[in-house]
Amino acid sequence: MQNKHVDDLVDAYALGALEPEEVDAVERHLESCEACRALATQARETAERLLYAAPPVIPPASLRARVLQRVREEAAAQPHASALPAAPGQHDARSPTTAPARRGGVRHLLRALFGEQPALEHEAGDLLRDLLADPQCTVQQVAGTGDAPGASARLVAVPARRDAVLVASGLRQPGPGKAYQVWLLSGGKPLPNTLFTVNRSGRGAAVVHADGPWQGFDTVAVTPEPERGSPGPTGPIVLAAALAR
Amino acid sequence: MSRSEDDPLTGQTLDDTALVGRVSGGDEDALGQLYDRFGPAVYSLCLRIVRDGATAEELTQEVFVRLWRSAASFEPARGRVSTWLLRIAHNLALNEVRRRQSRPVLAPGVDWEAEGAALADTNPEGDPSISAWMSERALVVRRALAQLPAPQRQAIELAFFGGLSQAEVAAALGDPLGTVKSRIRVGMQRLRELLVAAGIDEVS
Repeated sequence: MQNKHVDDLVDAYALGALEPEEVDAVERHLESCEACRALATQARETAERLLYAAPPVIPPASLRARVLQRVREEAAAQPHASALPAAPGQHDARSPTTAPARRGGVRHLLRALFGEQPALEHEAGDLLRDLLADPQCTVQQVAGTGDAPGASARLVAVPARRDAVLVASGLRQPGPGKAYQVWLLSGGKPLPNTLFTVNRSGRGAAVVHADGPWQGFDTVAVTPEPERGSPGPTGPIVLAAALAR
Repeated sequence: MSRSEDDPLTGQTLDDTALVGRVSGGDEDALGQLYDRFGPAVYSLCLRIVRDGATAEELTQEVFVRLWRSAASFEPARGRVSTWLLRIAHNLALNEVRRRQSRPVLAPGVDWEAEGAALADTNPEGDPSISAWMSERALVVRRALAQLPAPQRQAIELAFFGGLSQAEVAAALGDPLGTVKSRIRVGMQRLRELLVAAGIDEVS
């Protein structure tokens, strides 16, 4: 499969119309095939032009004022990142990308780990960049189980911090009314953690919060559950890994 | 038609990228100017996907809040400002549709072409308030899409604006999967040729 050209799939790939396992196959092939990569770029450009093809509709005149109001509230809640004087080496947890020296390195890491566009929720994306910029950062592989052989994930954590990010790919849609739930196991007992969904490409990310030091947990696992979450796992485990101590 | 605006202080023309630069420095007025340029296109795209005015307005606000937050990370080398904003809008709107698990585009009775044509009739390009934001680029893309055979256009639109997979498109239209796959492939190829012939890369 890996060596099979994907020229017949790149257009549907660019439109986001492939199934997760097809997306994986295409992306694996593109890593090693320059010809198909060129076709995929061309297809992406065409798909991007479709962004302009929506029938033009004039928004209500009041929308402009509401947009500006929302932005003002945002500005009042958090002073604008780059309006702050950036002290050298200052650790701004909210906007790590304001440190230009670190930015290149973190971007590079993000690309190396997750490809060009990790498609993350804002919160997970910010935290992920922040964690990756930490010299103590660890990245742990989490494998798909027999119930999800095409799935894989990485758990990005810093031992001294309670919040980590799980970035998963190759997952199927969990089904109507369902979401994926993360579990941290302590002494074999699964403790409910965060919920996440996956996009059309089968990718998703979640901020995982440890209620104690990471050493107290031995396993991370993911199961499909009702979308409001479940106190104990009911679905099959799709991703699991023993946590490195 | 000019997409630029004069800086009242220097008399110099500010392009989109320069305005994003000002937004990253906390300039609300620059954000307002970017809204004037692209707000209607963002709103139109959101509305096309979610089919609900109130939700499209919410999403439009969210797009500009994200512009405010992440203006500093905009990389001009990777594309134009409008594409960046529309890509954010596309992602947010499709997420919203999936979150609601409602797939409004599945309604077979909706004729998007007729809707678009009706809108075009009520929005004559001669009206400056409309042509001011309907860029040449949007017109070229809409014309090219309109030249595709209807089944190809329909499959592409269901995938791109409806967030449907090829299999879901096939189910929605009652066509064999293989037929849908080939319509998408051939339709995208044809669209590419039409866009190149129309000089898409030369228009703003």
